[in-house]
Amino acid sequence: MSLTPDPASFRDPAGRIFTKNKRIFRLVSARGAHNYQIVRDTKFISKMAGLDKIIETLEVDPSIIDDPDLTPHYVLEHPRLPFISYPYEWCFPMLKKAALLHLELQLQALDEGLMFSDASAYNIQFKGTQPIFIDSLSIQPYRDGQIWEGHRQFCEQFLNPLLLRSLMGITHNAWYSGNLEGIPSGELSKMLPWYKKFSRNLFLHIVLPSRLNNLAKNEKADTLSSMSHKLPRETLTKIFTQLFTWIGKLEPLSSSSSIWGDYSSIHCYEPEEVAEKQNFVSNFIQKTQPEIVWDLGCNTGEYSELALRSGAKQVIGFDFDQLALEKSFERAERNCLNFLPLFLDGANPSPSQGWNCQERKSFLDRKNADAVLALAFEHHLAIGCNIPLDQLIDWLINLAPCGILEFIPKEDPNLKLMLRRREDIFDNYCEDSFRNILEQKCRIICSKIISKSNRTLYWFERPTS
Amino acid sequence: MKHVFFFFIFFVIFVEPVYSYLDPGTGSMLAQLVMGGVAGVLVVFKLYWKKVKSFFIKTNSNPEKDDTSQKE
Repeated sequence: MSLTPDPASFRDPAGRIFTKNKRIFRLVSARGAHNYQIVRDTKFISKMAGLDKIIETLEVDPSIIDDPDLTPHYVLEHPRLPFISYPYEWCFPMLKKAALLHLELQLQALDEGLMFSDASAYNIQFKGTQPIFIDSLSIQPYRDGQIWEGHRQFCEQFLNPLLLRSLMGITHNAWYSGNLEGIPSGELSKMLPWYKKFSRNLFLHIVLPSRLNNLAKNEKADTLSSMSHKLPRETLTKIFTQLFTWIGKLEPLSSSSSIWGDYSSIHCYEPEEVAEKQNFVSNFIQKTQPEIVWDLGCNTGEYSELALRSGAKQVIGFDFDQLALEKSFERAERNCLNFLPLFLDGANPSPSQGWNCQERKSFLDRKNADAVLALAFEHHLAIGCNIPLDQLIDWLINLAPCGILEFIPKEDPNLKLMLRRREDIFDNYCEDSFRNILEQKCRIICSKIISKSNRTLYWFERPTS
Repeated sequence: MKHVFFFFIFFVIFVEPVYSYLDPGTGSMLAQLVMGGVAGVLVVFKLYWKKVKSFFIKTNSNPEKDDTSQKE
């Protein structure tokens, strides 16, 4: 059977990623073989893999591929990551952590006489809260005097999205998701107030490169190549170190306007109601024993943590509120949880996009949950975005074979707030319709009213098809 | 020297070059040379100087050019 490469693995002719029997292989071509040998012999990758900073790479017998059309020089095997996430789904601290890992690896690689050929943020994934570099072939031998070819990419995919939030309080996710190469320096430069352009780091990394780029546009290629002087290695080290220090100090511009970041202190449950909700969720996890749980509307990660403590192996949380995501990530780091909180606009989930609409997979294409939690989530879509209840329930129950859905009735103070300034056009939005639709589509194992306003939890199980 | 650097920074921030197509990595490469020190600054300065020179040359020769084109 002939193998097809992963749709995201086409840029680098040195190698391609293939999946065979759920195992991940990287096939090194003749073009990439020489560099690979040099890098492998430095032991840099294995040393960093030992520290969980670069994904483990094992050389395996090429005959394992067994495809006459493929004649790789080397075949490498990587462990399969349970979930691939993208920088446009990360919150600020995650992108910052990924950026710092990239720079740290660049610095250490340079000590070993190596250099990264690019600076793609898509080459970093998260294992729990730890970023890990996954593209071993983009590490190459350092050539004396070479410039940092990934500088522009680093700025656009890591630095500029961080600056957008840090300097202007604008979150990067929507822009990044619409422009997969990140936030262009030229665009960011236009948004900077003129006096900020004098700041040393902003000038050197954002303003100057974009201006010089425009300036050089009408130059002939020969004139430019005659200008490419050698860059001293110390300068390269200095650039990485300065960026590391600068990014390490970046923080999101303080904002008090997040609705859900304060959720834990503003939600409308009495203490005994909270206990009941927790018992219901905990009991569900213990009985169903899911390995991977998706927590939609994870908020500050309270129930994601509970799911993990009740036996789940990994939780992938989704929320649209940045502050809530940041608090979730902080919780995951503080309590060492295998919890990955990601940005999701439920009414507009990440699409399949990039080259041939396949390079980056959609939210649904990455579905891997054994159970789903959608606690105090449905009303944001049903009322907030006018999604019909039957379509919404369909979407939710198809995310995993079982789960818990919480229904918020119109009498609930939060829902009243949502309907306060708009016409109530939701004639069918009531507990009875919710239950009826759910019953038609799956089995309700049990349900429980958990608040004075009649918020109700439903434990559902989808019939296996 | 300090004044030269200040003039350079001022020039870069406030003089907007024209737009067209080029490989987007060139600006990054040149900026790194600037970070590398005086030699890099001079390289970039040369580029700017060329623009300034060509601006004046173009301005001076414009009327003549127009005349020629009309004659043709």
